[in-house]
Amino acid sequence: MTDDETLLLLSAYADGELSPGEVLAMDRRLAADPDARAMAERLRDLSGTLRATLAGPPAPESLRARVIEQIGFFDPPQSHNRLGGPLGSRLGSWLESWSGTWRGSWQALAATLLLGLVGGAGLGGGAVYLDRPGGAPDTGEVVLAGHLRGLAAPQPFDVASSDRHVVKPWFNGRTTIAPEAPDLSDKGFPLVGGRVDIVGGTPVPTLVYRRDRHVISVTVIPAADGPAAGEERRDGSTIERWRLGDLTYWAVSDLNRRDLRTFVDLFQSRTGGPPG
Amino acid sequence: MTTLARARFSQLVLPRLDEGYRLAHWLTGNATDAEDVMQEACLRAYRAIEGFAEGNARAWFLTIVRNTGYSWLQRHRPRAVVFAEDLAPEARAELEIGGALAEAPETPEATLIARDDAGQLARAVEALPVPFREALVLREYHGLSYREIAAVTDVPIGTVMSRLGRARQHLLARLAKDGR
Repeated sequence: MTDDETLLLLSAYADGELSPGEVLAMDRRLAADPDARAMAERLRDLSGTLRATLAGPPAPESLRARVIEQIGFFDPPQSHNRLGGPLGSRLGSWLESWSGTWRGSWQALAATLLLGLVGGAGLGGGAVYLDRPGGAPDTGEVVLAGHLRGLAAPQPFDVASSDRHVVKPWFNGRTTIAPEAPDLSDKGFPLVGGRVDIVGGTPVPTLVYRRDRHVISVTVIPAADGPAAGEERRDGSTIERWRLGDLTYWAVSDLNRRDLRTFVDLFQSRTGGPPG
Repeated sequence: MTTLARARFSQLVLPRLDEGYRLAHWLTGNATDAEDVMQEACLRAYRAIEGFAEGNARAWFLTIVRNTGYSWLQRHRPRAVVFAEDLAPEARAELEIGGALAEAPETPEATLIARDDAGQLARAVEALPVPFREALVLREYHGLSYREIAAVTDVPIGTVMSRLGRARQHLLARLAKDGR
């Protein structure tokens, strides 16, 4: 019989939220206590079923359209009064007085704006390329923009296939790199397809995986100078990068860090070992 | 100003409509209301977007959806927003002490739990009080960490942990009962 507190601990244990010391204690307890083991198993089954139960149809397209309409995405720059009332006209006049200083603020704004425009390209159609005076935007930004554009599109991939023997050849002729597309579905990371992203003006391959409802994009680009491996957070997404041979791999997802780490380790072990 | 705000909106909010919609759906219980909540939440997000500097955009947006959902519920279904503190003592005791577990099923092997063909589990989730339901959805569907759930729902991490534990305990007990 498991008591109340044990259940709370087991539940947090299943979520990976116990401290390392508590995890050790629980591992020992589970090894010795069949009741606790049975309860841990039921909690795990429950989580698995809940994920399917809680999922459902995505937001209807009509909602997306209404939201975009409401925010006034397609307003020409001159007519900002669509929001109506004093707020709209105030914003309009701000914009006018502000456009004079546009150049000066450009550097500071470019990062955000570029992401937004590329992210929004799925809606407006056609990619927007902004030439930033300070040089090319950094690669992490562009890779993240590709990932977010994928999320905003009806599908995050251009070719849908869970067969790595389909995905890899698909890139031939579309990009100069045809990356290995390891099948990780046995570990809960099914391959769902691939797409072409543009990094530094060059088409590069992106592999798309899923973990439950989360999308993981793995963009592969020729290695450049700079740090070979690392992790960073941007706007709620985690980016992991590593180097293999003369290629740099960029994995982007809103998965939690631990799961993304697991994914990256798996991916590396199936494509020729950890980064050199 | 609006150009920048829209650019940020398309970057931060639009890719997360599906996630927000699912939370709104579980909060309100149906598709039409979820759309209303989402439309209002998106407008709120747009107005607040200048104030969002850096950090977890996902948790930020889900917080807005959640709070919009709560005000919607308070407006349209005041009785649905029941906090654990407001429950009748017996109901509260059952949820917190999990009297449920006292009659734990003899067959732990989860033939019942493994698949939710009859929709029993979905109905049991719908019957959970809102604070328990939202913690469960944010964890099991959205995959948020306890810390993130605590931030979204504005309660301490310990409360998140206990709400999730109780919610699961309650669901297991319900399934066991239904299965008899």
